[in-house]
Amino acid sequence: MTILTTSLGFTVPLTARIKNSARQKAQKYSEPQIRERIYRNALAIWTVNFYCQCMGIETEFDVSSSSNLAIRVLADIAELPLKNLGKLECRAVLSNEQVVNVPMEAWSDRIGYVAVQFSDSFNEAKLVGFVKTADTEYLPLNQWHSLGEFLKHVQFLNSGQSSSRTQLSQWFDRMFATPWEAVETLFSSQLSSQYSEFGANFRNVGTQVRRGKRLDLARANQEVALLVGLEPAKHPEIDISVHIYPMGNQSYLPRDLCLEVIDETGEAVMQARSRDSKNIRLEFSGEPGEEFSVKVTLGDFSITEAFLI
Amino acid sequence: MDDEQLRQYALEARSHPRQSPERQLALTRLVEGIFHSGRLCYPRRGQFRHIYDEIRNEAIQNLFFFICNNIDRYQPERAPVMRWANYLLACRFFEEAIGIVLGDPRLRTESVDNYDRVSHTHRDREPSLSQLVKQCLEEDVNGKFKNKCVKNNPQANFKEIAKRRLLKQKWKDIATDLGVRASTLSDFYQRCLVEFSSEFKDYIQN
Repeated sequence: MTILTTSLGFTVPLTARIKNSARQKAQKYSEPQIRERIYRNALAIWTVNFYCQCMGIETEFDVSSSSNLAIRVLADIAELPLKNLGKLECRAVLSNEQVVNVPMEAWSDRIGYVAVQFSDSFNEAKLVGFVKTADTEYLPLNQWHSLGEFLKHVQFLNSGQSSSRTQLSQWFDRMFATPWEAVETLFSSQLSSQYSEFGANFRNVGTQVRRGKRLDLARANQEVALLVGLEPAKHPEIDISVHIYPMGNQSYLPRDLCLEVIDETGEAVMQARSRDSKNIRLEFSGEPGEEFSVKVTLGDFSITEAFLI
Repeated sequence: MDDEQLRQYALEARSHPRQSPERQLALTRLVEGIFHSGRLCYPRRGQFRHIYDEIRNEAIQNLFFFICNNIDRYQPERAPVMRWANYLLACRFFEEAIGIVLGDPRLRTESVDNYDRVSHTHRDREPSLSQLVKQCLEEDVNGKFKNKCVKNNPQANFKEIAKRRLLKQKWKDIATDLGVRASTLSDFYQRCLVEFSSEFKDYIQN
């Protein structure tokens, strides 16, 4: 029997080989209900792992399948660790069910939840939805987001991985993690004329906080500075400006350098591109707790910096 | 799903860099479209009797994995997507799957359905893991499980919560009984599970 849902999903046939491996895990338990749960959870984890493999998302499937078997008795959890990103919870749902059970013991320490629906005799499994957080034990299927949200979320998490996320609100307490430097320090070797020109645009005044770091664009002589400025606006909002300036003896940015601001869902929400530009900049505002990334692209090279406001 | 739509998804996937959500999304749509097209072929139909579906399903899994990871090899000017997919299925993945399935002795000797049902019970020869966990919890040799409790509330201890969860009590009911918020309880419970996981593991292994 085929599962009928209209929204985007990913269906894969389950082989007896896969089902047997899930069953072997379940056979270690005497209660039919626990056995059923272990079986479904094992198949849900397998299916999500298969999807991740197809999408080139690295997982730690072996870790998940060998993790403490006793815990499975005491908690209805089905975690699949994604490499370097955290644990994804895989929630099984049967063909006749419209609501997905997400037990409270699976609410914390997860990067997200994927719902996997099985056909009548477990011959097919379909990834049907994704949510980032859980705050109810029974979440109707129609309230889950599409798999596209999952893919964007993974990209967002990955973008924060290349260099750990910079916590901006700490800047107001004068806490700056390396390599964020005072703008003066960053440009201390610049030609004085250039620095004064730029310094007029970008200096610490009043409640503003400004810091910068070098970005190596991995091309000969292409080093630029990423500057971030913060200013408290109407509480709790914070005005944020992101600037790119040339470094070394360059007066102009490389042509077609692209600056993007990416929101929590992985969507590029703002973009600026250099032509014959001395600098480019984007301004927006956000609230503490929100996340965003800044992506700088030159040709086929790009570098992403993740921030937590 | 018509050929033109599938071709669009394939081209869309190829136009974005690896690991990009745009590519992944197009691949998801492509594979889902292929699967539900109803046009995936049945190579060597009539052979392999009861294990035919098993072989074909194994082959389809491997086909999907291949398509997702090799979409750049697809040449739209040479064939529609379905012809490409069916060529790969028939000439490569089905043949490979025969070896995989026939290599599994259980699948070779009995019907897949039968093998499905027979093994869906607990193997009596081994002690049940769930029984062992319950025993370990009940014995609580050094009193650790009972002594581990939510701050200033000895009643809300790990042993008590675990026993109630094993009886399928709902979090909100346990919370009402013990006078602790459900979210506090479940957070506490999760931390305990991590903390005690090795105790349970050792108990089971001995």
